[in-house]
Amino acid sequence: MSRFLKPLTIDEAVALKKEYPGSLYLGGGSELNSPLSDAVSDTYISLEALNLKACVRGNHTTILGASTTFQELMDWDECPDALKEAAGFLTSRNVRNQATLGGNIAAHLPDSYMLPILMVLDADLELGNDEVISAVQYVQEHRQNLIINIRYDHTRGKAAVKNVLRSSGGLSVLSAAVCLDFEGEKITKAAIAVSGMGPKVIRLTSIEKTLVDGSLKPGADLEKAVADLVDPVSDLKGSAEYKKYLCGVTVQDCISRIQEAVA
Amino acid sequence: MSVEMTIQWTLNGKTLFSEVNPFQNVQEFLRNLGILSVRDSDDHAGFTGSDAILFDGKVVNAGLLIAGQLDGHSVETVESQNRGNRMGYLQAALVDAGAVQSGYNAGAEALILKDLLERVENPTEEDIRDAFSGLFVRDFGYQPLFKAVELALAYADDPDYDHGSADIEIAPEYREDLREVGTPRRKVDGAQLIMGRKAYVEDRVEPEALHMKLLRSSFAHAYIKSIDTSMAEALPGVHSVITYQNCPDVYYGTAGQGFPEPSPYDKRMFSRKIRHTGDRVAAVVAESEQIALDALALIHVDYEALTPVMSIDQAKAPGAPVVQNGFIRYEAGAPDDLKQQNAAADERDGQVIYQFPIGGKPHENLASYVDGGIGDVEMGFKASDVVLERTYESSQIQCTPLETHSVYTKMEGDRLIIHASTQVPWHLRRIVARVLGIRENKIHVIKERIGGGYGSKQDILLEELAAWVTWNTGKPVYYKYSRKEEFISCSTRHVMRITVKIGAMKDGTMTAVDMKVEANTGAFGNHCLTVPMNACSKSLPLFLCDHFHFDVSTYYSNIPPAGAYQGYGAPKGSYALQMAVAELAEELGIDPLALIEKNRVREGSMLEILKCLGEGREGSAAPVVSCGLGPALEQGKELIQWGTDVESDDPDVKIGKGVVIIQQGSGLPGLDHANAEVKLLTDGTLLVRSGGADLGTGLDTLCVKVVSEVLSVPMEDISVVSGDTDSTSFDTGAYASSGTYFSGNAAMKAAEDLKAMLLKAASEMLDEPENDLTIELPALVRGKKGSVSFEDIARDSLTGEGRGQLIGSASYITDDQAFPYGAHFAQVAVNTRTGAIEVQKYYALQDCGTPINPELAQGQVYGGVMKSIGHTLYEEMVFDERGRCINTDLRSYGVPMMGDVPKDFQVHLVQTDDPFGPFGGKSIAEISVNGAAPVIANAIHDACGVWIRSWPLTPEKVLKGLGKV
Repeated sequence: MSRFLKPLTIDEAVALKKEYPGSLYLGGGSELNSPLSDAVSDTYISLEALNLKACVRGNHTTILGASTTFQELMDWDECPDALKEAAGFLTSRNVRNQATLGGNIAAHLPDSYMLPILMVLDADLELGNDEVISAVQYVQEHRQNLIINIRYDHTRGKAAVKNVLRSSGGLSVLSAAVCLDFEGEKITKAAIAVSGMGPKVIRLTSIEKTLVDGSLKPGADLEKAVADLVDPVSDLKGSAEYKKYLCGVTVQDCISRIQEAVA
Repeated sequence: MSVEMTIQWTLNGKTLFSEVNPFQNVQEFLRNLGILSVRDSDDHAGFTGSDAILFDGKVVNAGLLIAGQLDGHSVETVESQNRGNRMGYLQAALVDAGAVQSGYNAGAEALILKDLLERVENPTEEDIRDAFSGLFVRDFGYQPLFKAVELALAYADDPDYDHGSADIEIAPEYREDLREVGTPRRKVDGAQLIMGRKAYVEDRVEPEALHMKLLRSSFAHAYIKSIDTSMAEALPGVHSVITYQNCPDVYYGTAGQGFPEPSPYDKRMFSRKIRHTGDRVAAVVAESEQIALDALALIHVDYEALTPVMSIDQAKAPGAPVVQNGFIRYEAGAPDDLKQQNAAADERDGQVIYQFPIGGKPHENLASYVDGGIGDVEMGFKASDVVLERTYESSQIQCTPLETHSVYTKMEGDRLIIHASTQVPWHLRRIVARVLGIRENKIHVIKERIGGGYGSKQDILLEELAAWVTWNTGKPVYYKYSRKEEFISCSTRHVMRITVKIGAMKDGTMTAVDMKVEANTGAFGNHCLTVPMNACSKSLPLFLCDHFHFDVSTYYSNIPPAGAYQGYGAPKGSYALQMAVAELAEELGIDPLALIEKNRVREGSMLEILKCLGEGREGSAAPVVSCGLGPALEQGKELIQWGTDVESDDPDVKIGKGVVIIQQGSGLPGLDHANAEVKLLTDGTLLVRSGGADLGTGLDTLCVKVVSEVLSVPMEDISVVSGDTDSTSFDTGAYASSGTYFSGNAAMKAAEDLKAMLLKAASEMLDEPENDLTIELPALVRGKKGSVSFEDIARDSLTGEGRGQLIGSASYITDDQAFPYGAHFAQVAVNTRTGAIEVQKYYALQDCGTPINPELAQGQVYGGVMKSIGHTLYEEMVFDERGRCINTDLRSYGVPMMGDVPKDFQVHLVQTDDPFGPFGGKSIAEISVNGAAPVIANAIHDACGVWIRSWPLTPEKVLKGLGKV
C-alpha cells in the first residue's frame, strides 16, 4: 500500500517517519522523483505544508529554510555570493526552481553542489528531532533526519567555490569550496571541502591544519598536497590522475580568489 | 496499490478537482488529460525540459513531479497561449525566429519565454541563457532563441502581430528577384507544433492500443541456450510474446537505403545469437505498459556467454570471436571462395545476405572493404618535400533526437497502417513488406511530424516488429523507445580510426594523400560501406591533387549498432584530413589558411576522385559548378581577424584560432529519386503532394515556396501533404542531404508541369496563343486581351464538359552534382592550468546556393555546429569491460546545452547560384557538422601547441599534452 502523506507540523512529520519505516521526506522532488535516483519507497511524506522556506540574515547568523529552492536562494537579496554561485552550479533553471537545499543535502549526492560550501561555512543543520548537528556530521553519518533549517555564522571567514563540469548540463567532475579567515596575511581558519573525490563530499582537514599552522603555503605546494591527499577513482569523468591534479588546482583557485577578494 | 487522493488544482486557469494516484508522474497525468504539449524526452529524468510546465508561474519539469504535489497549485501549459485557432504572440515569435524546427519541445520553449518576459522587462543575453538553461535543443542550436526574444518583445505591443509585422530582420534576405524563395517566411507546420496539437506518433495512439516492451540482452555476445516465456504468457493482460522461436525466419537490414542496398541483410527479428548489450531477446505485447514490463521480468533466459569483441583491433585480430558467423549468401556476384568462407558457419548465427559484393568477409569480422584512388600516391610521396602521417580516432556518438523512436500500427480493413517517425517512409514500407511476407499494397505508412531524426530514423528499428504483431493479431500496437534504448539499440555514428598520409612540396602544393579508414559498425552491417566511405568522399574532393588513394575497412563488433548520423562519415573524415592539413602547414611553416587556399577546390574544378567513390556503384567524375569557398574564406578571415594574436588577461589562458573547409553533397545523384504532384483545387488554390519526408528542417515550407514562385500563388493558398505512402508518390527519403535538391526539384518541376497545363487551359479559355500568356500574382493568367484566374480555370476544368482536374506531376532524377561548401573559423581559449577549453567564437560561413528558407537554414547550421561541438568536446558512449554502455542518459553522455553556446556564434550564408538546384538551392542539412572537430582541434593547437588526435577533446587530454598529468 503506497501512501502520500501531508503533515501539517514538524512533529507530525517526524512521527510519520517513525510510523512508516522506510518512508521518505519529499521536498521539491527533483531527486526523489527522478528515475535516476536510488531512493525507493512506497510512502512519501510531503514537506510542503511545513513551509520551511524562510531565509533570514541576522547580525551573526544566517538561517536558510530547508525547503528553499536553489532558485529562491539565488533570488534572495541577501544571499552571499559563494552560496549563490554554488546554487548556480545546478545549471538548469527548471530544476533550480524545484530542487531544495534540504533535499540536496539529504540525498547525500556524491556530486552535491551545495554541501561543499555549507561544510566549509561550518553550517549546522536544525533537524526535526530538535537535534542540531553539523553538515559534516550529517554527511559522515549518512543521516536521513528531516532538515528544518541550515544556519551558519556569516561573520567568520571569506568563502569561494568552484565547480568543474564536463559540459554545462553534464556531469560534475568535482566541486570545491574553501573558507578562510585571516589576521593580516596569516590564515587563522581554513576549511576546504570537495565533492567528486569519492562517494561522499569530504573535508580536507589535514590540509586545513597545515594552512593554519603555516607549514603549508598556498600555491604549488598546496596543489600537490591536495592532489596527494585525495583518492578518486577513474570513471567516465576522467582518470584518477586527472582528478587528483584538478582537485589541487581547483582548491588553489578558490584560495586565490579569496586572497584577491581580501587584498 | 496506492491510495487515491483528491486534489484541487488549476490547469490553464480552470479549477479542477481530480481523483489521482498521488504517485503518478505529472507528465503522464497531463497527457492522460489530453495535454499533448508536455512531452517526455528523457524518461522523466528532468534533463531535456521537453516536459516543462509553469507550476505556480515557475518553470519546472513535469516529469520530476508526482500528481500528489499538484494539490493546491496551478499548472500552465502552452495550450493556454493559443488564441483560438491562432498562435499567441510568444508562440509566433518562436516560430518566426526559426526556433521551432522539429518542434518536439516547442511548447516548453514558449512557456520558458513567457516566464522570462514576466520576470525581466528587457532581458540581457545572460538572462536569456539562464532562462533556457534547462532546455535541450538538438536541431536549431539555441541561437535563434535570442532572435525569438527580440521578436516577442516587438509582438507584445502589437495586437496584429504576424510574420513580418515587426521591424526586425529575422535573417538576411537573398534573391531580390524572387518573392518567397530566399526570404524568411513562417514555417508551414510551425503553428501545429507549438500549439500542442496532434503531430507526432504518440498523438495518434488510440485508447485500445496494446503496448510493446522488449527484453534486451545484458550480454554483449552470447547464444541463447533456452528461453522460457510461459509465465509471461500466462500473465493476465499479456497478448503476445515474441522470441526467435516464433518470429518470421527472414533476414533483412535496418538501413533505409535505396534498393538494392549496399548493406548486408544480417538481422533477423529475433535471433539466437546475441550481438550487443541491448540486443533483442523477446518482446511482450500487453494491455498496458506496466503489464508488459511485469511480463518481461517473468521471462527466463539461459545464455551461453561468448567473449565480446569491442574494438577494431579486437575485431581484426586473427582468431577473434566471430560476430556474424552465419551462412553467407549473395544475391549477385558471389565470390569464388564463398563455399570456403561458409565452411565454419554456425546455424545459430543465421544468415548474412549481400545484395552484391562490397568486399565483406563476415567470418573475419569484416563487414565491407573498398579501396581506390587516382594517380600514383607512391610516386606523389617520392616527389614530396615533406611527408607526414598521422592517425586520428573518433568515438561512438548518439543522435539523441528529442522524440525517441516510436511507432503505432493498426489495421484498417485489410490494410496495415503504420504511423511512423521515419525519414524513409518508402524504404520502411518495403522492409516491413519483406519481413512480414506481404505485398506493399497492403501497407500504408504515414510519416508523422518527426521530433528529430538526424539519421537515426533512417533505419527501421522497431516498426517491423510492431507491424508484424498487428498483422498477425489484428490489434493496434504502440511502441516507444526509452532514452536508454536510444543509446543501446539504435543507430549511432561509427567509431573510426583514420590514418592520413599526406605529402607536399615546400611551397605547399599537395602531392599525394593516402587515407586509410577503419570503422567499427558494431553488431550489424547497416550502412557499413557507405558511412565510412563518406569519410573519404566528403573530404578528399576538397583538395586538388593528382594522387589520391583510400581504403576503407569496416568491422563487425559487439558494440551497439552503428549506422546513419547527420553527415554520415564526413565529420570523421573531415576531422582527420583537415587536421592532417593543419599539421602539414605547421611542418611546412606555412599559414594553414594559406595552405588551404593554395590547394582547395574551386569553381570549374573537375573532381576525378569521385570516379572511385560511388556509394555501392561505380562513381563518376563531377565538375564543381558552384563553389562559395572563396568568399566564405574571405569573409571568415575578416570576421575572426585571422593572423591577429589575441591575449587573455589571465596568464594561464592561451587563445588560438583555427580554420577548416568542409563540403557535403546534395543527395545522391544517380541513386536518389523524388516525386511530387501539384493539384489545382476547385477554387484555384493548390495542394502539393510531396514524397519528401520533412523531419523538421522545413522541407514542406520549401516545397510550398518553390511552388508559390513558379505559379505566382500566395503561400497561404498552398497546402502540402508529404511523406505519406498512400497520398504521395515515391521519394527515397530524407537522408544524404537530399531534401532541397531532390524533393525540392520534384516540387518545382511538378509546379512547372501544372503551369504548362494552366497556360494551355487559359489559352483555350481566352482564345489566345500560349506564348502571349503569363502567370501573375495572385494566381491568374494574363493575356494580351484579358485574364483568367486559376479559380476560373479550375471551375472550367471540372464541369461536365471540362478537361478534368489539373494535376502537375514530376519525377526527379539526375546525375548532376550540387556540392555545398563551407568554411568554419573558431577562436578557442585553453586554460593551461585546468585544461578547460572554451569556444569563444565560432563563425560558420556556408554556401548552400540560394538559401531558400534563410532563417531555417541558419538554424540548421547552428544546430549542426552545436551537435558537432558536443561530439568534439563532451559526447562519447563509454563501455565497461563487459561491453555495457555506462552512460545511457543525456546528462552523463554529455550533450551541449545553452550554456555551451559560444558567446560569439555566427552563421553566414554565402550565396552562390547553382544551375541544378531549385532556384539555385543546394543542401544545408548535414554539412555544418563537419567543421567543429578539426577547427576546434586546430585552434587548441594554435593556443597551446597540443595536437589532440582523438575525440572527445577533453581538458584531460590538453593537460596530458602539456605534460601536466
